[in-house]
Amino acid sequence: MANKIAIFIIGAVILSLQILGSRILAPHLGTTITVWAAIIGIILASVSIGYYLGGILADKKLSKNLLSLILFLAGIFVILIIPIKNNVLGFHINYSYGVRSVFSSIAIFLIPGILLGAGIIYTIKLETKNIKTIGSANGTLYGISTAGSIIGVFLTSFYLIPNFTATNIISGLGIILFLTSFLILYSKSPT
Amino acid sequence: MKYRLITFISGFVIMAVELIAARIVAPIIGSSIFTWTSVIGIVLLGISFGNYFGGHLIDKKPEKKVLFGLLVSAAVFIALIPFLSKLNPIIVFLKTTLMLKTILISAILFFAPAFFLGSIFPAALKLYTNEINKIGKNAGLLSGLGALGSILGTFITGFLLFGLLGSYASLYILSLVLLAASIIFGKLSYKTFWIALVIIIILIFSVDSSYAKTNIVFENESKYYNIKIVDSKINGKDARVLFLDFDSHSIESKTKEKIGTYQETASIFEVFKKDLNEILVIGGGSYNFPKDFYDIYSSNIDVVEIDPEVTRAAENFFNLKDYPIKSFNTDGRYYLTINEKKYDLIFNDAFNSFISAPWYLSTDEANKLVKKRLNPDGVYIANIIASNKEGSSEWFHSFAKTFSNTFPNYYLIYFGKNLKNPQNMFFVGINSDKKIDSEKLENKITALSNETKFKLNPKFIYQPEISNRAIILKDNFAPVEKLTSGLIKSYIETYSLWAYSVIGF
Repeated sequence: MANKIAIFIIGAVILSLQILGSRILAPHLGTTITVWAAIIGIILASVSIGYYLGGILADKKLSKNLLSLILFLAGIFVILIIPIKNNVLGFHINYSYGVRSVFSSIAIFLIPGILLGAGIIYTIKLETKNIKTIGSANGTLYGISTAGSIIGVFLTSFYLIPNFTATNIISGLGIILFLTSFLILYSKSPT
Repeated sequence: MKYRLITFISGFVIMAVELIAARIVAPIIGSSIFTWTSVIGIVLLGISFGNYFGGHLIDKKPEKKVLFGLLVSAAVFIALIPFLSKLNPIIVFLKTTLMLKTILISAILFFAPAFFLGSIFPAALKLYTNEINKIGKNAGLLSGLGALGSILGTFITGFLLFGLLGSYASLYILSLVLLAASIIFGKLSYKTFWIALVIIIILIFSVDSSYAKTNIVFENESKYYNIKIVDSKINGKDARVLFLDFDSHSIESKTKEKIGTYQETASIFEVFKKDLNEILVIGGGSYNFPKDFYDIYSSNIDVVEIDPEVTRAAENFFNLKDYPIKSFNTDGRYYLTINEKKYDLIFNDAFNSFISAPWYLSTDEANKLVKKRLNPDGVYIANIIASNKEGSSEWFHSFAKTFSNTFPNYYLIYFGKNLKNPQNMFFVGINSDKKIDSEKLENKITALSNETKFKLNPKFIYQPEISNRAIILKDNFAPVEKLTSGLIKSYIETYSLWAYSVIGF
């Protein structure tokens, strides 16, 4: 159960960050198609690097403590978005618009994205024990993670952004990841 | 190899469809935060149900045939999207909220394709993996490939396909790619394959032949908008209207005669500053204000228009070629940040949409940036759609409060009977304490009203009263979508009826 909650939260945080991304970058770079593509592209790229690394890690060493650590680190790097957003993005560097968009997205999303992506695959490995039910076990877990993503999108757009500052929302996401990390650490699952 | 290929392709197609989805919904009902959110939400919902469904199906029946069936179904439902999008004006006029309408439209168009695309991944993973120990590595590898496909799908669709093919043709291509890919898994099911191909081809032709609208002069899909130019009668006069997605941006008379819209008011601006030598306009559209500025004041005019295709449409269909106006195709706020040139007048015409006002141009930080780019005594005019009616006035008051925080010496010019109707209004801020000659402003306004036979009857207020519930909008907190929700609700039906009557159904 704790693993299912974790994968739900990870899905929600990834998409919440994606929606927030445009709010964070717009004051500096506007909302051109370039900015949108940079945000979506960099998040997907970092999540997919995370998938890859998470898969290797899970096949080498499988323990819930490691998942807890991944989530804790993700929480820290999500909160670090706040100082980056306030101090780094405003800098004037002499690069083209496209390069600035991509670099700003990397500065914000790369590390949280990798950690969250790794968390997803790691959780899946923890939950999958039987070769015969790989299809349904994975389908179910992806389903839960995507359900989290849906909640992340709707909650962020319709409730969080209209009612809270961007800074507060980011802190909130970090705290939720910390809580999930503790939940995994103290859960009763065997591994 | 084929399983890796198929997860890559389905990842590619999912993101491509999601990006195209937003472009398909925008011309139907605007590109608000509701549009983006509903599209992303519905696509994810489809994927999530699909993940579940695909996983259970393949555990029951671990055969390649299943993958074949899923791919063919996804292909057919993608080809169905353009056809279904033609039915959507029906939903626009349902008596319900904008949010529900956008969710409903997205669900009809995109749930089924997302469902089948989402079901492919667990099915491919199962067939690809035959050893439990390798599940971590395999799931990681296939997910990574799927995400890699998604990245390419995003970039290639955003940067290449829209401009090259437009959204409908892009969908047909994606559908055919999936169908072609299905052959790998279905050597025994050629009959199904051919039936699907015939269905898709029929769908392609059925939509293309329904395109026979007479009053649309030009239609193009750019990276940003569905651009439509329509010839129609406005106030009984021959006019040409520019639509960007769902929003009418500009209306221009086709003769010398004035139509009587607020867009013909450039002549009154000299009251606020005598010499308007350097002018910046943010948001070009048909370039009606920039062209009028040039005709009246012979100023040097810079225009920031985010979409190069809109500039090209203005050149080809609104005589922009005849004017020495400089265009910059970038984001307005980005332009203000990096260019340090000072202006006598900055006219912000980027708020043309009441459904999706660009929030980051309305904040305190944005106003301070504008002030930095103004000469002493320079003038900032922001053209917004708002209403001061109880229940839909939050946007009006918070915009005014934020504006007056940077430009305390400001005027409000409006054009309707009173401030309660949803309408375009100009916030005019002067970058000094200088008061204007209000008698002169009245005379200008009277002259303008006479010229348009009283169809246009502007009024002005100095420092309108601001509700104490209003907030100052900040980059860190600008809930523009929430503030405009009352306005959208009260205005969308009137506007939709007008817009569809001009464009034709």
